[in-house]
Amino acid sequence: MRRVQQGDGRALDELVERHRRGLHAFLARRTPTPRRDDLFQETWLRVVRSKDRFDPGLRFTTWLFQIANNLCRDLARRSAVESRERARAAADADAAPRSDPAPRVELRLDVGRRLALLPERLREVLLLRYFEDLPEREIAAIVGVPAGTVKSRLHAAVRALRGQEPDDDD
Amino acid sequence: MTTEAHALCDSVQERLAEAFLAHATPAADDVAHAAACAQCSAARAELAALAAGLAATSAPAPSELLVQRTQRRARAELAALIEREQEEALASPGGSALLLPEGFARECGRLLLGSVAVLPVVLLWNGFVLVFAQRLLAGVVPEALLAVVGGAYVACGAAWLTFLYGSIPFVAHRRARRVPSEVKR
Repeated sequence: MRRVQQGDGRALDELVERHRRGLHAFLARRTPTPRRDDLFQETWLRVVRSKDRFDPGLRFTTWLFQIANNLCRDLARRSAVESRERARAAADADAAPRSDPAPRVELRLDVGRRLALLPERLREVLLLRYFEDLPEREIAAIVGVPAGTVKSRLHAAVRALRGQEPDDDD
Repeated sequence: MTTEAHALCDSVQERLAEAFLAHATPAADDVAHAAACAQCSAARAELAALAAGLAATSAPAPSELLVQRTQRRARAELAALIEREQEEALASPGGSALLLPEGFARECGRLLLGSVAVLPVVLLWNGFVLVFAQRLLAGVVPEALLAVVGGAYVACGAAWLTFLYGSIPFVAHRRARRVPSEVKR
C-alpha cells in the first residue's frame, strides 16, 4: 500500500489480484444484486482516492472491507426496491410457523433465503465472521461498533438463521 | 427444567454457536451435554444443518474481464491523482521542496559515490594522454599550437565532467520516483 501511495500502478494491480476472490465473494453475499460488479470496481476506486488516509497500523484487509461494507450500506439505503423486496419476503417468512425448529433438510434449502432476509447489521457481521474468518475486533473496526456489540450481533444472527427471534438489543 | 439447567443449556448453546462461527469442533464437554439433552442436541443439529446450508451458498468468482477492467480504471485514477498532487505541490509556496521524492538523497549519494570513485582513473588517463601527445607531437607541431590543443582538450574534459556531475540530481530524481510507465495491455 505504501507503493500505491507513491503512485506505483503495478503495486495496485497486485493488490487487486490478491484480494479479488475474497472481496467479490463478500460483496456477492452482502448485496446479492447485479450491482456487485459495480461495487467491486467502486471499492478499488475508493481505495485509490483515499490512499493517503490508509492507516499503516491497520491491516489492509480490514480497511478494504471497511470501504466495501460502507459502499454496501450506502447502496442499501438508496435502494428502495431492495427494501420493498425484503419487506415482502419478511412478510412471507412471518407467515410460516416459527415455534418448532425447522427439520434439517428444510433448513438447508432455507438458509440462503434466511441469510438474505437478515437485518443489515446482523448480516454484515455474520458474513465477515463466518465467510471471511475475521476476528471480532477487526469486524468491530470495519463496521464501526464495539467488539461486544459484534459478539451480540453474531449470536443474534445465528439465532435468526435458526429460525428464532434475533433478540439483540441494538 | 430448573433455572440452573436452563442456564447450563444456554451457555452450552452459546459455545456451540461460537464453535459454529469459528468453523471449529465443539468442546468435548458440550458435545457430551448435547448428547444427553434434547434441546441442546436439536440446537447442535440445527447448527450442523446451517453450516451445510451456508457451505452450499455460492459466491461467484469475479470474471477476468471485471478484474482487468477494474485494474485499468484504478491505475488511471491513481495516475491522475498523482499528477494532480504534483501540480498542487508545484503551485503551492515552497512547492519545489515537495518535489523531492523519497529516496532522492540515497540515489544522489549512490551516483556521486560511483562517479567520484572512477574520477582518479579518469584524471590519470587523461593526464597520460596529454603527456604522451605532447611528447609525440613536440617536434612536429609548434609549441603555441600544442598549448592551444592541450588547453582545448582540458576544457572539453572539464565540460564533460561538469555535465556528468551536474546530471546526477536529475538522474537521482528519476530513479527515486520509479513511476512505471502506463503500459497498455
